[in-house]
Amino acid sequence: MSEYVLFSNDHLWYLAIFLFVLVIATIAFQIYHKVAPSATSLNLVERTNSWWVIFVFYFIGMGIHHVVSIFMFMFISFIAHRELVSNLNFSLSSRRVIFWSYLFIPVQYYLAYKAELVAFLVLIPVGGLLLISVRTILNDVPENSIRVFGQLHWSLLLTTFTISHLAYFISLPNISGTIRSYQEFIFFLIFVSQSNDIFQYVFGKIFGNKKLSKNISPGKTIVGAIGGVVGSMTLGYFLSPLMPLTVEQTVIAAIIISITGIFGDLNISTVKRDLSIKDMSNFIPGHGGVLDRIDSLTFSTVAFFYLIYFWIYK
Amino acid sequence: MKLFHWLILFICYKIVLYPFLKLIIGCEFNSKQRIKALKQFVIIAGNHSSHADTGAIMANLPAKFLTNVMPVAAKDYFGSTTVKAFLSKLFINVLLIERHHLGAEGNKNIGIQLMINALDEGKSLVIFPEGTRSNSGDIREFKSGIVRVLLERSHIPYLPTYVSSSAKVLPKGDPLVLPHNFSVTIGGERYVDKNISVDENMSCIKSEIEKIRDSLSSAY
Repeated sequence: MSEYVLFSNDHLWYLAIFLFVLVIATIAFQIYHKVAPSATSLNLVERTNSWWVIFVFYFIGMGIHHVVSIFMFMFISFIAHRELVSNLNFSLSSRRVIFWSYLFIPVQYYLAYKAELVAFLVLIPVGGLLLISVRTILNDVPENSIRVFGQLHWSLLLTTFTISHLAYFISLPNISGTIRSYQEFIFFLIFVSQSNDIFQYVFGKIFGNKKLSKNISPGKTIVGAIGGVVGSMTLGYFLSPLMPLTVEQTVIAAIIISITGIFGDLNISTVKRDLSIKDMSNFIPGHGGVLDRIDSLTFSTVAFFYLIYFWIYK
Repeated sequence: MKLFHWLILFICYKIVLYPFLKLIIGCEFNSKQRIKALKQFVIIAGNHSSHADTGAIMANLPAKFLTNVMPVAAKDYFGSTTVKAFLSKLFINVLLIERHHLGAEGNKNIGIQLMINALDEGKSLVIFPEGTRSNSGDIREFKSGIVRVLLERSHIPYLPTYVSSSAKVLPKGDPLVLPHNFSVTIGGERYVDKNISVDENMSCIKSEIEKIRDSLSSAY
């Protein structure tokens, strides 16, 4: 099989096991939902459905060619930025500034593709600061200019700068002894951060009722968050044979992904609460917008990237 | 010839415009299934703020309707030259009428007659009763032509339609197309009432469209 797709045999085994678990879970939850329909069972069915979406996207996006993967991440950033910009409701006078902000996305991913680390790191934080301000000044409309500077720049940082680190993983030199080490890293990151959601949900459901942040996200409990960290830690331990890291490093990485994931999730929830919307868009019918799906990844991608970078590449 | 025209419209709306609107612009199509069962209809979109409105509504329709649905457009804008008129007929399938409020007095009934003729030929229409685009996104004063057409052919249903925030995509007076999420929602079929006046019918249509708009905003 590994002649046809870009996955190593080990990686394919993990995917096969994952697929097997997913099929079992889907059948089990569907039956549970048929026999005793409730809000919980519906939630479980929806979660398995979104896992199918993740699995299909992962398989297609990562299995064909590494340029396809970069384009997929670029598209995700683009949709997420568009969702934020659409919901932030800028006035028609800032259309040119918004257009410039979109131009950063392909440039950022090109730099990731070319592995130009300094330019990649500087483009949005520094270049965005300068160019978004310059375009607003050229516009000659002082009204709401702070809002335009701040929100467009922040939106680019949140959706493009962070997620583009997934693309940069692909450009990092391969670790000796592995076939495509970036795949193990990205698989680990996505798998742990998405499982973290489930652990939080399950632990919160069974044990907790003390809210982590009752104004932002009433569904999150403190015990759920701790359960998420413990669960991710355990998952990290079991996934460590796949990773080109030591067992301790893998477990630490899983803990970092879990904690940053919780805050990334709450970060998007905060924004949605502030804008009083339920979902960022309806891009994935039944699952809300892209940003609703990648919320925890926005924080954990950067954290995980620099962890790996300082452990292995520095 | 008809097949050839259908093919051109299919390429225009379904192959080029639909994926572009869906993936790049971020247009959301609601209530797609609803139209499938209908034979003939008049789509009334109450708020016209962008050329993207027409494109989004047409791309939203099932492919079999393409040659049969004609967006009603202003002759002084889309038909200002013969070439422009030919191209908009070929690629957009427009029905060109004169806008009487822009000074072309005496033509008031010609436009209405053209729309009635099109309905008699079995065509469906897309009408923006405001008569022009506005960037505010509000539902403004309607022109009465639409109701007068429907009163003549009261067996044909109209579909109240709401297009949200398309001015952000392509506003009046700015050629830059910008990605921005917006949605097209087509409501269920309604009929005009012959027993009430034109004005009352107009406010009826308007309130149907406002109902769609309110149901969208209360979803959050």
